[in-house]
Amino acid sequence: MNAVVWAVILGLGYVFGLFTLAYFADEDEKRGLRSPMDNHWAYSLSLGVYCSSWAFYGSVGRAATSGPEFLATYIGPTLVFLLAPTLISRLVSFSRAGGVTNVPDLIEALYGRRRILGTLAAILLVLGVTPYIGMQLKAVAHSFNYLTGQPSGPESHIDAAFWTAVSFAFFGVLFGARKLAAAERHTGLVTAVAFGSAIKLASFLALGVYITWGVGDGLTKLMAEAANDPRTRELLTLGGTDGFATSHWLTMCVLSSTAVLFLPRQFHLLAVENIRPRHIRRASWSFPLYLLAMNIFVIPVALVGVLHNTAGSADFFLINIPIENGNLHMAFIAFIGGFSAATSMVVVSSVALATVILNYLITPTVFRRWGELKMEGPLLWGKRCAIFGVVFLGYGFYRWIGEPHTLVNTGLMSFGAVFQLAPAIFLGLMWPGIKREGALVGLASGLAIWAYTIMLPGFVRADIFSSTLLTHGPFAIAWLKPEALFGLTGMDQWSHALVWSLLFNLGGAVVVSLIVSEEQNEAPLLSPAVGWVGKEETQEFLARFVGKEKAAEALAEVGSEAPPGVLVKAAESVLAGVVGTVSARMVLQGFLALPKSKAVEIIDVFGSVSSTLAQSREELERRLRELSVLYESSRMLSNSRDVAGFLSRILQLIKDEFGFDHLGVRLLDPRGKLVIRSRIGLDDDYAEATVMLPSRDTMFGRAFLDGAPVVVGDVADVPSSSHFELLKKSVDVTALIHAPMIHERKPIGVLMAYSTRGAIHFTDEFVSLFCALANQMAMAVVNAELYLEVHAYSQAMEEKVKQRTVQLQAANERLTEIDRLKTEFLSNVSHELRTPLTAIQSFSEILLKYPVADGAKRKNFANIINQEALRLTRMINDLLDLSKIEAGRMEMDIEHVDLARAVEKAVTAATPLFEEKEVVVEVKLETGLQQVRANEDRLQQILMNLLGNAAKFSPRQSSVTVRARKRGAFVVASVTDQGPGIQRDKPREIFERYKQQRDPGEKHAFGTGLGLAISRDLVEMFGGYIWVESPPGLGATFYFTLPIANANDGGDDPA
Amino acid sequence: MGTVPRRSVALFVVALLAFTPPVLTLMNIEPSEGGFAPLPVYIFTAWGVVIFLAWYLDRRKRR
Repeated sequence: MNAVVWAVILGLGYVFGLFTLAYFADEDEKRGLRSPMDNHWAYSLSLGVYCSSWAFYGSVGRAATSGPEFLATYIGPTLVFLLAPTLISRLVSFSRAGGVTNVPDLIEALYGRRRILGTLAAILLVLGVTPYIGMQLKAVAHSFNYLTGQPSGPESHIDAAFWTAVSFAFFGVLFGARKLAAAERHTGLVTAVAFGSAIKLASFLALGVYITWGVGDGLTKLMAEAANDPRTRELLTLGGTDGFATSHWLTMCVLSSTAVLFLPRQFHLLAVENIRPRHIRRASWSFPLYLLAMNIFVIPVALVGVLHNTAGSADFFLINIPIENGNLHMAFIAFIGGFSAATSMVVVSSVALATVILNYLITPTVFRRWGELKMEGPLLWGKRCAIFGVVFLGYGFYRWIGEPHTLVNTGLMSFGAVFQLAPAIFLGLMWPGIKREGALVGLASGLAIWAYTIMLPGFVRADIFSSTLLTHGPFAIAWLKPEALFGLTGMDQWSHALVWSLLFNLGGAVVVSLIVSEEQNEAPLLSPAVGWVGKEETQEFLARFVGKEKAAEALAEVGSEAPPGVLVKAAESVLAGVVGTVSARMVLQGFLALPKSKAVEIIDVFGSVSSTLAQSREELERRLRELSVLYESSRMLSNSRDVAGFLSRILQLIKDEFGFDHLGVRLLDPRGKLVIRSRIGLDDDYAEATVMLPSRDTMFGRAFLDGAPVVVGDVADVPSSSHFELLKKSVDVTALIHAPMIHERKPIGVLMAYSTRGAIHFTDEFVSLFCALANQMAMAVVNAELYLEVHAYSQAMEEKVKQRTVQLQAANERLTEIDRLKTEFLSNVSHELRTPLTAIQSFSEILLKYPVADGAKRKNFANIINQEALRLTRMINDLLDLSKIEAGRMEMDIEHVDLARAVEKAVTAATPLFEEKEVVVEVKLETGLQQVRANEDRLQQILMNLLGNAAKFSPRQSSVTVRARKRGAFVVASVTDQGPGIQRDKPREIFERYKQQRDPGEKHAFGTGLGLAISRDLVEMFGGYIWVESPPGLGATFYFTLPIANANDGGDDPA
Repeated sequence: MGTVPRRSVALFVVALLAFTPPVLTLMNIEPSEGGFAPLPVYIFTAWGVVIFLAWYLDRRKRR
């Protein structure tokens, strides 16, 4: 197989390999895997796209003709990257905060949104960068032809360049416009670029070692030989025999230091693809290290090439030295290295440039005229066409203008163009006094000077214009000579152009800014305005740009009731990936401001936005957005009593609306410590480690103690402390704001928000809004806690009321029962009282009215009257006793009583009752019973009650037994009958007042039903206990106990 | 400005001096017969030292 086929296979294989790598990196990211690009080495490698084939081939060529001068193009970037922690971090964080995706976006973000500046920057980039792309094609074509031994005529180069252009454009589309990406970052592309940078470095180092030691005789001998050879001797000093051209060196440093930041491919990888701010700080040494490694062998290779009289252009020593030494493998390695440098450069540049062209040049003009409703297809094809357009514009430059130009000169031409953007950007970032008009004048005049002093001579050299233009000036006006403007001579073309363009660009910007009055300046557009839109509407609108499927996918995670801020943010990120941030915002603003039916006019917004109207509308919409946050939060607050729930919902709202990824609320707990009660993005370790009393050592502590917000726009300004390090361990914080949560002039907590997207300028309006939110949350927290307290208290009260109600109900029932019993008792008592009274009345009437002659009869009558009167007395005594006991007025003396005697006395007294029924009374007392503590009369009363009871219920001819025995400190006495027993579930009820065992069949000959109740009260007054046992069918036994009297107690203390 | 940004600016100024004409012109010496070329050696050495210092500053910041 010949070399042509091998070279083509290698080249295509390399790019397909790269594409596969990119594809899988994208897939991994979709699956949520951590990007392998998320480290600073990958970041610095991707920045290595700076080293295009100019660096790979051209540096050697430069070193072989002008010595170490070429190093200035790498010293410049090294110097500017030393400022990574300050200048570049600021640049990147500003870009990220503004959602900037390319340099014209950045300028728009800095100076407002009238698109003139952005469009100017876009034109500048297209004019400046396409030749550079053309030169990459040239480099690949030449190296291909050298490698394959093609006849090196212009025709064959042009053929090779054409096919290179076709394949590069194709891969540009494959990498950058396969579909409409709904994201700003392209992990796959970055992976491919970083890989390419690694390949070209490895290739160069391999070539360097091979040529220095394999072809040359090693470094020491090579240097000695070079020092003594007149051709190479001057290549080891700056300027050689002509002397050191300091202005040229400085110019190269300045141009390269801005190019490394603002070339479209550099800015894209530096700012848009930056994942973490700390990678930028690391790049301050790792990127210069890459540049150093890329250049370490350039001088030895150039020396070997010159000393060995290598054929062909010095630019292609890397290919030609191995070929002349018969080592085709090394030549192929060199080819792949140069090819990878060109590929990365062309692919990233063409995609970045195509985006700029689409967003700033095509979309506003074409779509404005068409007023298209469905944008998806046109946008995608527009981007693809733009990529092809950029690459073929480059090809055209090379084909018709560029052949006489070297790689380095064309590169410097690009650098010169990009440099014109630097004053506007740096002034915009650093000088508050800069005005839009100033930037516009500066940029326009810089562009004009560049075109006149750099581009025009380029056309002259390509024989497009007559060379008299250079030698005599236009219209023979000598001071307008493009390379000696205003008579400035004595320096090279680049320094000359730099001096004038810097003077006009910077000078114009500063002077005009100082002249323009304050009012004409307008605030930059940094945030999308929020109106009131629904999800369906937004999705329909998005579908016009990205197709239904993608629109639905993009809004899938947004709830149907989402606040407009969330919807607009989601829509913006989708649109930004398609038409760029600035266009996306303009389209969205148009969409938000106008009703659906006016969609045609929405597209119109690309071209014509009245500035004053837009300005006031922007202000209005910003206020509206802030108010909507306040409204939304107060709605949540008023609806909620669950503290944790509403805190986390409000944090989510702040996150969605203002883009803070890390938020927290600290509240004072009962121990007086500030504890994180709700958080987003802060980890457990941090939350636990920072439970502490408020102190001035911490920023949240200061906010709490001072009752004033703590605002840090850039944490680089904060002196380090142990607490702050603790925070940094958890969050890669770059800016933060803490607001005290104040309720009734007393702080109760702190609302904290941290940003990781770089430094932030917090406006006064935002700070006061944030404080208002914090205070609102404070009020809600206090209210919720009060509510919980009151709620708990009222629940306790309810519980108590319930208990009381139950108690009262029971008491009420008891009272009703007692009332009922009392009524019943009264009727019983009156009935009982009437019986003896009736007998007394009747017999006394008989005695009064009729002469009862029979003495025995009269005596009998008088006897009955006496008996009934006694019974009446007894009943009335019972009633009196009971009322005395109830009123607590029963008084009696407690003395030592002989129970046996009392029993004997009672039995004797009760004998008539028993004899009436022929009942036998047995008395079985334990011998030697001690005396008991009681009142003798009352003890008699108890015994009489029990015996009377027994007599009443005993059937005829049965027996009643009275027993007494000692049990511990008590004597237990009992009276047992053989009557019907107690037929109750609760035998104790028999001792209740007014309850009486009634036998319906029997006349109530005895008692009022109070006897047992009185007996119980009396026994208890003596310190004893009374109860009844009634086994079914065995009669009833009443027991009572009485305390045994001790010898030492007096026995006469009143109870 | 914090300590680290201040130091990085100081390093930038020192590096700027090292790589611009006054110092560079001083080092712009013809190579010796033995093959010692002071200028390329100076540029690469100074470059390496600057990178080392930038790394050192960054490492200190990380700790």
